[in-house]
Amino acid sequence: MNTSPNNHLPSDAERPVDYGPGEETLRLIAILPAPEGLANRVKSGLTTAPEAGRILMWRGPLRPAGGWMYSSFARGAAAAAIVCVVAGGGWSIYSHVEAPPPARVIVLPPPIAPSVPGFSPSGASRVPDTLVGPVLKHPVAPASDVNVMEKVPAPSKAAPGATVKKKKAPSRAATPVR
Amino acid sequence: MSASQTLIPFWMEIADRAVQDEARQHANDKALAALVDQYATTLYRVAFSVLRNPSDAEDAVQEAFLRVLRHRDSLDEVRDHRVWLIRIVWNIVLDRKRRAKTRPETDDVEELVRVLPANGLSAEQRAAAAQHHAHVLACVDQLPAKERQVLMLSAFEELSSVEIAAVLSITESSVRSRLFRARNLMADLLQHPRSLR
Repeated sequence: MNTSPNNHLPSDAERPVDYGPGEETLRLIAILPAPEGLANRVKSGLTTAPEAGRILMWRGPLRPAGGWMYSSFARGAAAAAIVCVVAGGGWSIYSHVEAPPPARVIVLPPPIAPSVPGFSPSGASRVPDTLVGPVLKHPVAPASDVNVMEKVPAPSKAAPGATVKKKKAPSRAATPVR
Repeated sequence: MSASQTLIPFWMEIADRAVQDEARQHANDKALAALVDQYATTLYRVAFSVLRNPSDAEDAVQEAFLRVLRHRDSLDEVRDHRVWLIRIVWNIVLDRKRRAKTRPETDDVEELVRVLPANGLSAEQRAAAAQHHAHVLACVDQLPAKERQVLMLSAFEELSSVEIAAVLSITESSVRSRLFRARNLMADLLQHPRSLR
């Protein structure tokens, strides 16, 4: 393109020589004046437009001079510092946590092993002693007096010491001897 | 080496980089303001040629510069700011035009006829000119999209065929061939209005 840097109009060789039918309408549109204050409105729109990545800004006197902390390098360093602090804190908490106390368990005695060679328990295992049962505070009454539920066979009507006549078994008398 | 001797150069480097970033940001802001001053009118015309509505065109210009604001760090990498900006606003207005198809075209034409210059014309001549412009624009709307875009951009005297090719991401020969076809189609449409679909 052989246009000068100050003038963007193309050369005659690049321009169409004549216009086609109806193109005068398009050319009228192409030379329409822009509305007044267009550039100012665009600029004001650009200043008020939110940027893609917003950064929290310091306000008023708190704003640091030069705004160095808004540079990408400073933001990266700050992000790395935050990561280090968070990771270090987590590691310190993890490393200082005490181990939980051991659980209270009943240690069973070791199984009876043959102390003397040649003998074996034959499958016997140690049985712990029976626990002592509850102790009654009051004396227990005799069973004959208290236990009324149990049926006791009634004593015979005969006087003690009397002999009981046994039924006489049928005799085999008068059996002829041959 | 003590800790202070280690930290002082570190913070000095941070401060230097911060100052450089701040200076670069100020430079980008100034460059952006200069772009607005220089090309806002051109972008408005390009937007208006497609949208045919002043407020919509101004919104498109605003949106284009907002996109530039988001990429202001890469302004130095742009070779031709004018073509780059026209390409941005061209894509914006085409997208808006596609989304706003529900609006009747007659509203756009009436708005356009109202803003077109008609100095020194009588009322009857002004009405006839408005009717002619509306007819021409209706014919332009009947063109295929590729030919229509080239024809509309070629109406801007600021744009060469090379720059039109850069805006549309096509070759210069394609621009010339499409412009040739567009003019032929326009001639047919204007001579035979009934052929309008």
